[in-house]
Amino acid sequence: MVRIQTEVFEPGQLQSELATGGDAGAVVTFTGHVRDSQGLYLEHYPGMTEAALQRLRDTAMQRFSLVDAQVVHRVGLLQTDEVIVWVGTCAPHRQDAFDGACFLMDHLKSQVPIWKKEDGQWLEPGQHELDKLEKWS
Amino acid sequence: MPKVNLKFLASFRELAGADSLVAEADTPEQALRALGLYDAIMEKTPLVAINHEVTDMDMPLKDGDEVAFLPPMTGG
Repeated sequence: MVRIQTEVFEPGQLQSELATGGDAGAVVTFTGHVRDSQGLYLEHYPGMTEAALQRLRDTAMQRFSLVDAQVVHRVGLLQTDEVIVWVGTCAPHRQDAFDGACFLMDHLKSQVPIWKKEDGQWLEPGQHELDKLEKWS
Repeated sequence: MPKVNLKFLASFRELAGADSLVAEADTPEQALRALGLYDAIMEKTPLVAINHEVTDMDMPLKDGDEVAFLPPMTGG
């Protein structure tokens, strides 16, 4: 499941919806919150963003032999400490679950059509974010 | 020339002064040049997408295509 939404969500609820059980011995989740901010605006490109997220999820599922992977990303105007993004992965072994979650987050930072504006300025991807992609290439 | 719908996302919307425009152009590059936006957008290392698929600035356009200009992405 991948989802783009304006509404607040509850990470615990999402974790309970991961397809665990059976062979899935490892669950990893990541929750991203807004750091100290006067207001963070996030924009997406409806249709293309969801399709890019779905492709990214499919790639992660296959590459890390995941049993399940879910991504929820918020857009709109968010305030300090609000949840922006949640990623959950589940796999037979912990390293694949960790790697799958890192792979998804590293790609979300610069490879999915989502843009952030903070304090009146559109942000640009940092070099460290782009460097992190190299380890997956 | 094909009539297409241009979309400008995020910072490019502010550069273009519009979120979408109808234009007649053979390629995305030609559409941007006609609007005087080519240099300003290219210096930001954009992606261009036709009907939600990333492509090249010189890809031939067809009537009704949605041509989107995307600045570098900053999700997560």
